[in-house]
Amino acid sequence: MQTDVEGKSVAARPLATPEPQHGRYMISIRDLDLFYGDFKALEDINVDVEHNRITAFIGPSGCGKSSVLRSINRLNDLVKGARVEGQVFLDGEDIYGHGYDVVELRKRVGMVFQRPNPFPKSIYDNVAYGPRIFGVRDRAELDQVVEESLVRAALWDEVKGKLKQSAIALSGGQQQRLCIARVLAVEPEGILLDEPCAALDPIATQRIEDLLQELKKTYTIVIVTHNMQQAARLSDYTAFFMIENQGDPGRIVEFGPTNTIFTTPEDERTERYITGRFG
Amino acid sequence: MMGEMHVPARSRARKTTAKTADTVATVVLWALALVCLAVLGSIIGYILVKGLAVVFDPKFILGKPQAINAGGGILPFLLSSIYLTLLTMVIIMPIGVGAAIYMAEFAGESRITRLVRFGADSLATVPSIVFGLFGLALFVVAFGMGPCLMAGALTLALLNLPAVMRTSEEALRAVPASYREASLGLGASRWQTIRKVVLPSAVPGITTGGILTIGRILGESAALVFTMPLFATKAPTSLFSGGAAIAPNLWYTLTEAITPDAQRIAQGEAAALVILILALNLVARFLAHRYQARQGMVG
Repeated sequence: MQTDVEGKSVAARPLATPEPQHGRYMISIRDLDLFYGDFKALEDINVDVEHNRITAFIGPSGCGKSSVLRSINRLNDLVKGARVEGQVFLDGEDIYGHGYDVVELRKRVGMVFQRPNPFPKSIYDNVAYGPRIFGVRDRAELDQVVEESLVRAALWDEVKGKLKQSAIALSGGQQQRLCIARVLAVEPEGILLDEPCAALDPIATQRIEDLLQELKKTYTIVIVTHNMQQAARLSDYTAFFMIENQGDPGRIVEFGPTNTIFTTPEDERTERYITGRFG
Repeated sequence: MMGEMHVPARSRARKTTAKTADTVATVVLWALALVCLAVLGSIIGYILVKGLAVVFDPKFILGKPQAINAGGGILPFLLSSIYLTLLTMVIIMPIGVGAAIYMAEFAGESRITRLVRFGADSLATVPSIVFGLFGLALFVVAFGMGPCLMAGALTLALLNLPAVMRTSEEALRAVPASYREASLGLGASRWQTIRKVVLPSAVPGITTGGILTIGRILGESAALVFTMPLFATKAPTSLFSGGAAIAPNLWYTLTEAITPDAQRIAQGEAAALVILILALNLVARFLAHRYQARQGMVG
């Protein structure tokens, strides 16, 4: 018997359930293979992402964690030669299905990248970017969205007096929280974070982690991280990715509640990785 | 001295050699930079020393050109040059930047785009007198425009279009992919991303290309020899009327003019041209800086 995040006993769930359960899970990835040209980057990926939980993807560099993340809001579409087989369900609907609205998808599932990438615009214009794209013109409404998003991203107090200043002048940690605010402004349901703290110092990292704990009350979060302590501290579920040999596709070795993965992993490779013996 | 004894002789020698090389390189590079500055400074200095006194004479700068008598002014030439520059830029920028957007954002990499790029780069090296002859054949003769402002502007547009397109394309390519990803990731369409993020981010680079083009337009004479009048007493009053730009008129004044003070007029024109180019550069730079500050592009 193992316990999930609420401390209730649940059956071990080493891999995703065979049939997607739409009520509990926001995102269900089924038998996903990803190709870059002839190269198979991912094979047989199955993950369920529960509503209002933080799901972490861990594993060695280059094992395809980010690629999975990017296929959840179809950013891989932009990569020439990238091709996906299998399904990714968002609330029961296959996002790779014919005629699926990619713009709507990206609005519902926002992405925060490894390096903070604010636009070379003012703080205000960065946050207002998404709402403006979706046609919000009313000044008062924009003001409100910008303030709310910055408050939620725990940045408001630091920038409220200088919204017209360039976002480029902010520190790395502030820029990353600005990028989170920018995503929050389009009112997504899910947030994907691709190693959001990789370029940040420990204090800025701590702030982002606190923020994510707060945000999961409202949003469903998936985070890729190289930092295992971060995954252990932060996440409710963890998927461990690996490539067996150079040139092989990345696979999920084990997926389950974070405390199970970090205390009693089923797979020996998971244990070796989390205890730091390889990778 | 004790400390140094522990350093092996060879290592010490290597360190000294590296230091010497460093000093030599610094001195040589400094000298080369100074040579460039000296050449530039002496040309501008010579032009200004010879011409400033002429330029500051209001009768010269604001006066009417004279074909035969001494004491002619250059105001119509200055105005012609300014009109010509504005008209050429109005023609060139939308086409050049539009083509650059297509090349950088939509065309992808194929044999055809490589061919277009190669063609543009080759075209940029064609001597301007060849464009002048082409403009004569096409605009002046075939289209029946005669030598006029529009014929000159179209010829200069052809001459400078490849460079504008290529510099704009490079500026667009230099916009980090992370901006595009961020925008698309927020649900923006490709066109929204280009219009609201990529293009504004490329404005400084595009402006730099534009400023260089302004300088080339103002200084161009060969391409205008057959496409605009070389001498006219009035500035153009319409797109298709004549008017002589200052650079080709400078050449004309020194080689063909029969006014007794041709030498003095040429010196004044040279100084006026240099000052005009500097002034337009400063204005363009000022506008670009203000745009960047307003956009919040600089921290």
